[in-house]
Formats: sequence, structure tokens, C-alpha cells
Amino acid sequence: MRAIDTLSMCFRNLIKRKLRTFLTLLGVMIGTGSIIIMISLGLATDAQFAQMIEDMNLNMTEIQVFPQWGGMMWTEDGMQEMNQRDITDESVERFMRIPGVRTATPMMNEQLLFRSGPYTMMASVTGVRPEALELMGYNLGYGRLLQEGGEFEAVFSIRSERGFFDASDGSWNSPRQWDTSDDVETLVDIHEDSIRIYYDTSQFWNTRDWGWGFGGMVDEDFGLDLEEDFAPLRSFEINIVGVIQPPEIELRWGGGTQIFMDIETLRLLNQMSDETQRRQREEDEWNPSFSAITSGPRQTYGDVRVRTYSMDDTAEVAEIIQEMGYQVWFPGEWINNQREMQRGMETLLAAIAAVSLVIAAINIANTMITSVTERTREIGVMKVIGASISDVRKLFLLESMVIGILGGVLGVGLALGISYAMNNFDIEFLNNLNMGAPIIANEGGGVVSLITPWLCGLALAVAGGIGLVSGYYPAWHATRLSALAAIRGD
Amino acid sequence: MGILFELKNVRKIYRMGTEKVIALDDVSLTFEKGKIYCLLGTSGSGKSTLLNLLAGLEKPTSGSIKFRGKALETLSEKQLTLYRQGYIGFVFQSYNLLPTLTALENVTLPLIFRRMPKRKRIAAARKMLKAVGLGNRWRHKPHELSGGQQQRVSLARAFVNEPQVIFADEPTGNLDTRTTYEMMDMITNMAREREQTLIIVTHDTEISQYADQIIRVRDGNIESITEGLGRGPSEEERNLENEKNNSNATGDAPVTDDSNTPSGEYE
Repeated sequence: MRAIDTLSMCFRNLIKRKLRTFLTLLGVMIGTGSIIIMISLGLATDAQFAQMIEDMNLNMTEIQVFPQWGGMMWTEDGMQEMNQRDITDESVERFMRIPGVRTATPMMNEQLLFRSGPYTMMASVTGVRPEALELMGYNLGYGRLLQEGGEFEAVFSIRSERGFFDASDGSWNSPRQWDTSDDVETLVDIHEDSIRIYYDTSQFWNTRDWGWGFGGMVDEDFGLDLEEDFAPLRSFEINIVGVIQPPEIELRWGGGTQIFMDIETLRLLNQMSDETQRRQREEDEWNPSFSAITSGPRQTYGDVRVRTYSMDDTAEVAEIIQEMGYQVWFPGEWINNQREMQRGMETLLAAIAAVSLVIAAINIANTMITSVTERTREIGVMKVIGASISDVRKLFLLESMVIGILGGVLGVGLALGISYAMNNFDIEFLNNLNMGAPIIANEGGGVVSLITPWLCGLALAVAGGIGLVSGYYPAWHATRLSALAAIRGD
Repeated sequence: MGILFELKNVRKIYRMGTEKVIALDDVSLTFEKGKIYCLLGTSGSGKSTLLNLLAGLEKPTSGSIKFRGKALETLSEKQLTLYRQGYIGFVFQSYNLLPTLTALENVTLPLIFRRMPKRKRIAAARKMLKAVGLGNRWRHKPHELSGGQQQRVSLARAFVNEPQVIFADEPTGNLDTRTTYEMMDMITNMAREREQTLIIVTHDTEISQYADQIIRVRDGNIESITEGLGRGPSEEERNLENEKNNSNATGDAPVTDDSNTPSGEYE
């Protein structure tokens, strides 16, 4: 029998039993449709998580390491005495040696005073190891990143220079800093103007009488005489070698002002500042406040960033560092927890949907067995007039496979419809299912349900496969029928 | 004329639970090409079993059945399928047309199984339907045809693949007398025209007269082999029969309705 004839015969039989075919199709349609919907919810959540990671620059290979403070602490195992664990250069070296670690750098934040012409800026500068900056995953807008030995080099972010303000009127505040729009006219052009960093500024701060007024800190003397006030301070000119382009979401939240320098430079500045302050303290017994802040040369770090080669290693590396006695946090941890919760929910829903698919399969088998029983005589006649065993088998297998595929097609249609409805009408109940993620989804224009072409293809293949499997026994039964008994069977 | 079938000591035993039923005891027979045979016997005599063995639908318990020198019982299922496709045609008592197919499609069915291209098989089937006098009813589904018409479709189906032998199992069992003669005339004429061997199974002695050779089967054995007339009853005999029937049957219309149409027409 030719394939085309088998197919045509098969469709005739299905059409002949319209109602039964329709009801069986309905079962497959509901089964396939619900499976697709359940998987589509999972796909949408995954896409949302991926988008979230991208948006928030949550790099999955980053681990933040903090020192462990001593004392009693509440942990998973109850109250525990924790040993203090400082992060030193040696600890950073040890982190670097952990397998899977790409780089580790201490992070050091210092408030520094910048000046360019008549304009001033107080900014937090992050000190990192030059070679590590590249591996930290920052996107370079233009220029280059830090290099070894570039003590006077700095890397700005695209909005860093918005912090410059005119201090001559006494207001210590730059309104541009809080502007999150893209084009803001700044006072300083980082490409043209010379920018200096003033360090060892404790004397400068000490001699002024600070208070609070409208719009931030104000110098009660109202006005800053640049020449007079800055003249005694030590300074050096910095060379801005590159500018970082931060992710969009960070800019929306007012970020994009980070400044990076070599950690060694910051440490040196720190030491000199400490030196001055120590001298000052000896001169002036009556100023205890600063002595509390500056407690000797810094050899420990409050924050170290560790990067792994791949996100698969992150959890393992984090655990090793934790076992060394440090505190760790990594975005991967949070995301993984969220995902796991989500997966659990999805698996449950998919299992429920799978039940309807199993019922659909049983339904097909039932329909086909009825069909074989009903057509016993027909099968016998066909065998007598020349149908081969394989013709008979193909006829029934094809019939059940067609039911499966047609049901699958209807199921894909149903799923697309439901998916469209879910994405376009706010359904509170579904938002609750997708814990947490929909907030991001709504913000980023994401979807609750995501049906990809491969999902449709897979669903059709599964539906066809189910038809084939369900039809196997009935078809086998049909081939086993004795032609004679079938004809006589009245 | 050459020998078509050669049966030697054929024995067929059915197992019904723990009991054994001897359907055929010890049958040795030969069928020649181009002749018309009748297997005559009562129900349970073993005549149908003999037919099934010849058609390769069942295998003998012992003995051998040779078709043109080849032992049927040694053939594989696949070879038997080819044998049925290529050499035999089958006419059933209850027509056994496929209810989902039109008359034409039913006739093409054996050709479909032989993988004949569509155009060719439709031409062959239409020619065959014309030969049985249903040239204009090819589009009808079986349930739209009378019993006689259905049987003619089934006749066309049996002849369409130009078989060497036609088996007819009680072909007129569901037909009234007049249609029976029509059918028998048609089937025997067609077989003779095409020089095909026709083997008719019946319990009706009148019908057996159409055969060249009447083989009486009784309790699984051949009781006798006699010469038949090789034709149906003459015009006068038929008229006589009709009169007798009309007076007996209180003027009832001939039964063309068939309660025995193939099942499976429910949705």
C-alpha cells in the first residue's frame, strides 16, 4: 500500500467517526495545551531572570567577601561563637589560589577631593588592583582600563564628572549629580580640563566650621577661597585613561558615577593622611574625633571581590571561602534560591499537566481499541483481498498518530491563545504564581508566558509520539486478528 | 488443461478448548485451470474450511496443498499476501464492502494493496464496474446500494486484479431467487470469459449445477465428485420456480434488503 493511500484511508476513517475523533482530539488538545502553558510559564520566568541579571549587572561569577566579625552570631546552626577574620593581602592571595577563581581584588573606598579649575568635587574612589579591573566585567565606554604602574591614572564612569560644582558661593552640592537624564551639561570636560586630586586634606577639613543648611553641607563662612584654601594642600594631576559605560538600569537608578584607581595609590594617600593626622593628634589633644576614625595604617580590607571562570564554580568557591572563615555574598546565591523555588512550583504544575496528557494517551488507546473491535470484519476483508500485515499495522498506527498530531496542533493553538490572554490581561493569580519575577517582567516589558517555536515543535512531536505509542497495542491487535474469524465473526 | 491446486491427504483439526474438532479428515483433490467447481455440503461439513485452506487463510494440520506446484503451507505470511494479491479473488456471502469507501474505491482496494498507481487502478475499476452493470453507480457508498448491487461491487472487486482463481463463499446466500440466478450467471460467465478457475462453496444443490464438477463434502471427507451441468437452470425452469415462489410467498416483494451489511457504521 502506498503512503498516500494509507493516509487517505486513515482520514476517511477519522472523518467517518467525527464525534469520537473530535472528543479524542479534545483530550489531546487539552493535554498538550496545558503542558505547553506550564512550560511557557517556566520559560518566561527564566527569560525574566536572565533579563534581570543583565539589567542589574548581577554577574553570576562574582563573589563578595567580607571580614568575619568576632563574637556571638546567629547562624543556621544556632548561636555560635565566631572568630574574627580580617581580610589581608595574604587572604586575597589565598582566594586567588582556589581552583576556579579567575581573579580576586580587594576593594577600597576613599572619599577624595577633586579640583579642576574653579570647580570642586568630593567623590568616592574605588581602589582595585589594575589587572583585576578588566576581569571584573565592567563595560568600557572608551579609552582603556587601569594598567600596572599607572599611579596617577583613573577610570571614570560616564557620569562621574557630574559631581563637580562651583563652591565659590558656599553651597557644597551639585544638582547635576541627581539628574538621571542623559544629556546634562557639566562644568568640567574630562578630556580637556586638567583634574587634580587633593590629598592629605585633614587640615583643610579641620580648620573649617561645618554646618548643615539647605541643599547639603555648607561652609558657614559662605564661600571658599580656592587660592587661599587649596594652596597649602598637596595634590597631583590625574590622568583619566578610560570611561566605563554602566548598564542601563544602574543609570536609571542614579548610578554611573564610579571612579576607579589603583589600590596602591589610595593606600599611599591613606598612609600620608594618617601620618599627618598622627602628628596633628600629638599637637592637638582636643580633637579626639579624628583619632577614632584613623586607626593606624590599613592592612585589612572591608571588601574583596572574587571572580570565577564560570557561574557553575561560583557556589563551590563561595563555600570554600566561607569555610576559611569569611562572610560571602554572591548574586548567584539569591538567584539560585529564587530559581529553585520557581522550578519547584513549575515542576508541580507540569506534573499536573502531564497527568492530563497521560489521560489523553489512554483516551487515544481506548478509541483505537474500539475502532479495531468495530472494524474487525473490515480488517479481515482487507487481509483476504490482499492487505499485508504491515498495511494493517500502518493503517491503525497512522490513524492514532494523526489523532495525536492534530490534537497537538489544536493544543498549540489553545496554548497560544491562553498565552496571549495571560500576557495581555493582568491576571493577578498568575502573578502570584510567578513569585517576584513579574515585577521585573512588567517593568522590562517582559511576558508571563513565553512560547518559543521549538516548544511548539517539541509539543507536536510529543503529541505525535503519544499517538504512536497509544496506537501500538491496538494496531498490533489488529494485525493478530484472524482474517477468517474476523469475517465470520457475526 | 493444467493443474492449479493439488491437495494431498489434507487434514485440519480445530482445537475448541480441550476438545478437538476434525474439520477435514483426509482430503485429496485436484483443481484444474479454467474450470468451475462447486464444494457442496451442509453447514459444518468442512467445505468452508477447505476454501480457507485453498485461499491460504489457514494452514492444514497435516498434508499439503500445492498451488501451481508450490506448497502453500510452506509460504511465509508475506508470500501468502503476495499470493492473495496476485492470484486469487474472493466473493463473500455478506459482500463485505468497506462502508467508508465508495463502490469505485471498494473495487480499487485490491489494486491499492498492490501499490498500483491511482490513475491506472481507477481505470481498471471503472471497467470492472461496467462489466458487472454498475457503470453509473460508482460514486455510491455501500449502504446506498441494494444487496444485489453490493454483491456485484464485491464481484468487481474479486475480478479486478485478474486473478487465476476466484473463491465464492455462499455468494448468493443473502439474495433472493431471481437475483441469485442473475448473480450466478454473471459470476460464471465472467470466469469463463477470462478462463479463470471458479470455486463456489454452497449448500444449495440448484446452484451447484452451474459447476463443471460438484464436490460433495461430508464430515470432513469427500463424499463424491460428480459432473454438473455447467450452466444455470433454463428459462422454463426459472419461470416455473418463480410461479411456485409467488404462490407460496403471499406476494411479498423479493428481499433485497440486507440485514447483514458490514457493521461499523456508527460514529
